[in-house]
Amino acid sequence: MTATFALWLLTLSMGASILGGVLGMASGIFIVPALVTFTNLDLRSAIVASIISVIACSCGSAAPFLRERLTNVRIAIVLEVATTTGALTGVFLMGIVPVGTLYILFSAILLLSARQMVTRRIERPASIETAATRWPALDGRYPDRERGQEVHYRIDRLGLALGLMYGAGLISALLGIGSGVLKIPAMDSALRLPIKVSSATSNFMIGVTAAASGAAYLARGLVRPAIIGPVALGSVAGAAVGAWLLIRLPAARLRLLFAAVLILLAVQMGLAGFGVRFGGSG
Amino acid sequence: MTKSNSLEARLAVLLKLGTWSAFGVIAAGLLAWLLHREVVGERVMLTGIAIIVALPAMRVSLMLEHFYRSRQRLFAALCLLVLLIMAAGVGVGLSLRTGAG
Repeated sequence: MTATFALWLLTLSMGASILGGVLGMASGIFIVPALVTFTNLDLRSAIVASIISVIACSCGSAAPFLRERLTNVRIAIVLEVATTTGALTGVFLMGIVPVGTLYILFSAILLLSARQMVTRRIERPASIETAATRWPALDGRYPDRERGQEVHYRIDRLGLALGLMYGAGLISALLGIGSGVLKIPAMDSALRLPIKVSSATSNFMIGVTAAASGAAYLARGLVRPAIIGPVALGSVAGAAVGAWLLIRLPAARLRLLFAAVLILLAVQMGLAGFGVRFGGSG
Repeated sequence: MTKSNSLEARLAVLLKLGTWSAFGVIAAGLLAWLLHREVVGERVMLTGIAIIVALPAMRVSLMLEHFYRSRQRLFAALCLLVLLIMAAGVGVGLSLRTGAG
């Protein structure tokens, strides 16, 4: 490994993380394809490097949401039981699932992300008037600045959400991503949380989910500091820049362009699953 | 809500400070590595990476302490369960390492 390669890793990760930040997504979805395409890292090394970055980005961006009281810490801890169990399953499967299958799975997640990017998330009316309280300890409220009032909400279909979260944890550990693409539908559609609450709570949970597998990979000796160090630095810095740009860029108009990028990456990763490679040698 | 708010404020401080200290440690390690102090640089970077991995566990521990003190036993038990699952991950990692020789 050379100094030039370390700086290249830092730059790539920063670029991938800025992309993720502008779109309000975890950076893993861009970091893994960037690392396997533009470096000679193999897929598993890229996944381990990415999972560490995902933890750092989740922790680094949680503070403003917590202060705004958008994060529901009680719902988070309930769902984290499912996501960490899923992550543990993913750690077991990591060594068993063939690399080709991992590429194809990654490609499917990229396509799902592209679809989610062009579909507008629908804010459902708060279920406070319609649903009976089944889990009162998990109900919450947050200050809505636009409306200048507190919004109360109740949660729905906890069992379904727990099942989806188990899957999200498994995919997160297996592919080195935050799995926001699976967490967001679970929280929007199953739990029927307000969009701001589900985004903040999903981001908050990503750190714990990724740490369950990250700690396992660290204990297993798969963490190579000279590779992961620059990737983590680049992605934390990139996430901060991306969050800054998110407010200033017309991200809504850029979404179609990014959806196209995601589809291209999906095709590339899918082909790699069948042994057709365009980039690095991994 | 006051207690809950103070928990959220404490979590925000922990996560922000933790991330940026890990960032500083890794940056120092990378600098040492780039200045041809490879062994020291890698050790320092590994320390920073370990801080990142430990940060979520520290956040769950802080929540455990809060829920236990405010007698929200169910949530305290869930925090403990999540910590145990994370510890099991470390155990699995160690056993696979031994298995791989």
